[in-house]
Amino acid sequence: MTINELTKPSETSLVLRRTLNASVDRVFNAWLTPDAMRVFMPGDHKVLDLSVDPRPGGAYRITWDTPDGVMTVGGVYREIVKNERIVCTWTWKEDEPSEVHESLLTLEFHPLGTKTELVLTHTNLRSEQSRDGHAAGWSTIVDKLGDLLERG
Amino acid sequence: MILPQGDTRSPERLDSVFSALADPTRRLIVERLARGPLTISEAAAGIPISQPAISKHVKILEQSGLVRREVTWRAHHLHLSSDAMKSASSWIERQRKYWNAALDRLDSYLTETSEKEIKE
Repeated sequence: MTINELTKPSETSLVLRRTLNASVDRVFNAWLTPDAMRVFMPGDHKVLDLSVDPRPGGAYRITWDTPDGVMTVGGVYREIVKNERIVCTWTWKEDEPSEVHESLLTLEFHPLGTKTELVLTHTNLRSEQSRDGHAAGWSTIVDKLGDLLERG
Repeated sequence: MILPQGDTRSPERLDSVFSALADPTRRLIVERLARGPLTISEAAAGIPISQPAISKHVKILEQSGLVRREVTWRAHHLHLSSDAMKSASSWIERQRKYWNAALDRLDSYLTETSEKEIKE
């Protein structure tokens, strides 16, 4: 069984590594394909709405239904390099415009024979608490991604 | 008279559990969480004290082990953690058994002696 390896290099950043038993092609595509994202992006919550425009400069938006109400995150793809790297901004929709905070998400894909190492780096998070919350969120999402890719 | 033993495995933990429960606000939060996880503001809804005071109460509950905090994305939830409550309730249970047995003995002693009195 493979497990997530989580490190917290600073108060506002986290790195999650996971070796997935799937080709780099499948792992990379899963992150940009709405049908796959709808399956693994929920983590522990239900996805209400999801839109993806997978090109540099394109936007994405995901809305979850959580016990704390509806939460929406969105961002813009800064870099998309096939089977290598996805870089995008990650910003939660806030009621108060002054609370809007942009963080940066980088996904790197390293082929390891028939497997793929995924390295998820999330930086410039708002606070230590926010970092830990995102670490928990990403852990459930990457677990679901593993289930999706390794099952079929 | 031999009194029942305390929880020798974790006396400090029992101290902190009982002192955490020795406050009406904290007991109210524990009662609410028994029905399921809540955000801090849900757990504290309607309690007429300040936000910093609520945080202090939550911290005491977390330190006692009765409550644990979980964060996913941006949302914080308080959960009841059953272990600390179990150690408190098993302590109470031991006292209850002791006193039940002691009172049963007293009861049979009183019955015996009153029967004797009747015979005499």
